[in-house]
Amino acid sequence: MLSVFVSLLFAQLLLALSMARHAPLTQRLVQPAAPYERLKRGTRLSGFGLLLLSLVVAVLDSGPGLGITWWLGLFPLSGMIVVILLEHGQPRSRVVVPGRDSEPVSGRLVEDCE
Amino acid sequence: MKTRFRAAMAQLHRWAGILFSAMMFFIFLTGTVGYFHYEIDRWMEPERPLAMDRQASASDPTQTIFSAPSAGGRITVTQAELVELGFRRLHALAIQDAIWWGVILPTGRNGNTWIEWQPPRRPDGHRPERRAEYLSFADGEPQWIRPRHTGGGEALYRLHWKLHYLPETAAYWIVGLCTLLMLVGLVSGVIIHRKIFRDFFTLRLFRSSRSWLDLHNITSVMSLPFQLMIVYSGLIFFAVTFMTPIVTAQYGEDGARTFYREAFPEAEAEPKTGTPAHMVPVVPLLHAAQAETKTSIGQLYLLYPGDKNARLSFYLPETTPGHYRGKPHKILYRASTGERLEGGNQLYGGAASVEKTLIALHEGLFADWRLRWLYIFSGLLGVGMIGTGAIYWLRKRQARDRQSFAAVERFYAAVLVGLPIGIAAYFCANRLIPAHWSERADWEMHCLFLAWMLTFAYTWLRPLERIWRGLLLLAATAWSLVPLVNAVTSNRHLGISLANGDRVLAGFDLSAIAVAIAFGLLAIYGYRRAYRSNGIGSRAVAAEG
Amino acid sequence: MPARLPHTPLPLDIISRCLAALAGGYALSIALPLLLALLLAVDRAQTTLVALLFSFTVYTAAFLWTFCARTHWRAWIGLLLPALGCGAIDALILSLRAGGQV
Repeated sequence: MLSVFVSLLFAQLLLALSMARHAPLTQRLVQPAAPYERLKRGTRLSGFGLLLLSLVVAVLDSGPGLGITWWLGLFPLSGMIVVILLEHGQPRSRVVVPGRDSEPVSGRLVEDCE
Repeated sequence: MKTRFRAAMAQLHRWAGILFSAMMFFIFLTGTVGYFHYEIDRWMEPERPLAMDRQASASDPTQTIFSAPSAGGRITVTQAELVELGFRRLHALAIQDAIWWGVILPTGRNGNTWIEWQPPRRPDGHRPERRAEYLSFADGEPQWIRPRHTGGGEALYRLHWKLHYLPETAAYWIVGLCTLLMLVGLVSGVIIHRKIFRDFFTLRLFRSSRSWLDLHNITSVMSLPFQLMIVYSGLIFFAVTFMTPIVTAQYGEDGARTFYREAFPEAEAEPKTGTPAHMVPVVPLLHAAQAETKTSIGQLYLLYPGDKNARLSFYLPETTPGHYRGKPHKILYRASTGERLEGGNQLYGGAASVEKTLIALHEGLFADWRLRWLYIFSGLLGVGMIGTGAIYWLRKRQARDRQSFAAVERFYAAVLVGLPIGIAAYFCANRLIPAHWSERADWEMHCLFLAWMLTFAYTWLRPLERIWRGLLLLAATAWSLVPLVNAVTSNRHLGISLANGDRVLAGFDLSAIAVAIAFGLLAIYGYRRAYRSNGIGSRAVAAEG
Repeated sequence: MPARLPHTPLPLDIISRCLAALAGGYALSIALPLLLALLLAVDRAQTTLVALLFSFTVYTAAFLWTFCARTHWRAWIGLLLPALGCGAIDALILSLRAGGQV
C-alpha cells in the first residue's frame, strides 16, 4: 500500500500545482519555462491519471473491498499533507486573487463560493 | 439559470444543515468512535486479562504458540490447548440449553481468549445478552474471569444508529432521514462549490474572515470520496426497511425473508432435534479446516450444543481478501460425527456482492489497525466538516451583530464540544461506578447524557464570549481525567499496559491523552485570542473565541 | 432563489417543497427503480437489490429537484407525474406476470 500512498501524494501534488493559485511555484519548478496553459493541462492530466492509477493498483493488490477501503482512507491523508506543504511551506509571495483573498465575507453563500 | 440553480442548491444545503447538523454530528462522531468498539470493549472491562501475543507460528496452526502474561513471567500455550481449555470450560459450565457456544482465540484487536454463549430466549420472549468468560493465566494456572457488566464500546457504537431513549423504529426513521439529507447536503455542496477544484488545496488559516469556510471546504472536499461512500453505504442499511414496496412488489407482503434467502443464499442450519449426542474432539477438525484453508482460524462456534444436529462453524478471519469472491468464510462440521458439511461459501450474485461490499466498506470490516486509523481520520474530517459548516453559517449570520443568534451559538457550542465531554464522562463512569452494580451498564450511558446536558446548562449560565474556551478547557480536563481515573481505580493503567506490551489498552489511554492535548491546544488558542488585545475592541476579538 | 408564486408566503413555499421532496420523492424512488427491476429480465433477487441500491440516488435527485423547480407546484408535479406513470406501468407488468402464472 505504500506505493498507493506515494502515488496518491504525487497525484494530488500535481493537481495542486496545476491550480492558478500555485502558478508561481509551478513555473519556478519547471525549467525551461513553458507557457502556463500547457503546463496547467499537463500537470492536471498527469495528476488525474496518477490518481486513477493509484486506485487501480490498490484494487489489483487487495481486491475491490480492501483496495477501495485503503484508497479511500489514504486519499484525505495525502491530501492534507499536500495542503500543509503548499500552504505553509512556501514563502508568502503568492498570487493574491483579487476579490477572493481580501474581500470580507459578503453574507451570501453562493458568492462566497465563487 | 445556472446561478439560480446554484442559489437553490445553496438554500437546500443551508436548510438541511440548519435543521439537522446537530443530529448528523452525533451520528458521525459515534460512528467514528465505533470503529474501535472492540478495543473500547477491552478497556471498559478491566478485569479482562492482559493481552496474549502470538509468539511463534508453526506449519501446523494448531501448534501456534501464544504467550500469556502471568505472575511468574510469560506462559506459553498452543492454539490446540486454548481450544481444549475453552470447550472443557463450556462443558463444565453445563449450559446445555444455550443456543450457541463460542470459543474465540486471541487476535490483534482483542488479545484475549474467551468463551461465550447465548442463553435461550426466556418464556416472556425476552432475549438475554450473550455471556462471556475470559481465560487468564495471571496466577500461573488457567482461570476463567467474568468481567463487570458494561455496555462497552458496543453501546457507544450502537448510539450511531439506534440513538438512545427512543423506540427503535423512531430512531431508525430519524437516522435514516438524516442520512438521506446528509447525502443531499454532500451533493448540493459539490454543486454550489463551482470552483471546487480551485479550492481543493486551499486553506487560509488565521488570515482572513474566510477561515471557517476554508476549513469547511477542506474537510469536506479532502474526504469527499470517503464521505460519499460512507453516506451512501449507510443508506443501504435502511434499504429494505424504507423501500419495502420495492421488495413486496415482487415477493408479496411477507416476502422479505424469502428475498434475503434468495439474494444471500447461505446453507441453512439443520434444526435442533432434541436428541442429545456427544461432541467429537474439536482439535482434529480444527487442524483439518486450517489445513484446507491455509489460514489460521480465530473463532469457533457450536450451534445447538449437545444436540444430534449440533453444527461446528470455524470462521476465517475477516481481513482475508476474497471474502466475497466465493472463497469460504466459514467451515462447517456436524459436531456429533465430525462430518464436513456443505455451505459457508458466500457465492453472491453481482448486485448482492456489491451490496455486501458496500456494507463492508461502511463498517470497515476488512480493516487492520492501520486502515482503521485511516477510517478514524476520515471520520474526524467528516465530523469537522459538519462542525465547521455550522460555525461558518453562524458567524456569517453574526457578521453584523455579534450578539445575535446567541441561543443558536450556545446550542452549537454545547452540541459540538459537549458530546466529546459526554463520551469522556462515559469512560470515567465505567471506572467509577462499582463493578458489582447490576444496573451499571445503563448508568454509564446515563452519565454520558447527563454530562452532555450539563454542558448545555453551562452554555446558558456563562456569558456568550466565554463559552467556547470554557467548554474546550472542560473537554481537555475531562479527557485527561480518563487515563488518571483508570490509574487510580484499576490495574490496567498505562504503566502496566506499556510494561506488558498490551497495545490496545495502552493505545486507548494514549489516545485519550492525545484528545486531551488537542482540546487543550484549542482552549489555549481561544484564551490567547481573548487576552491578546486587551485594549480597544478586545470584546469584539474575544468574542471570536 | 427560484421564483415563487406571488401569493405564496416563503415559509409555505419551503414547507411545500420539503413535503414534495419527502412524499413525492419517496413515491418516485419506489416507482422508478421498481420499473427498472421489472424490465430487467434477470432473477428477481438481483433486480430487487439493484432497485434498492438505485432508489436512494433517485431520492437524492428528487430532493435536489424540488428545490430548483421554478415554483413549488412544479416541484410536486415533477415528482408525482413520473411516479404515477412508472407506478402504473409497474402495476401493469406485475398483473401481467401474475396473470401469466395462473
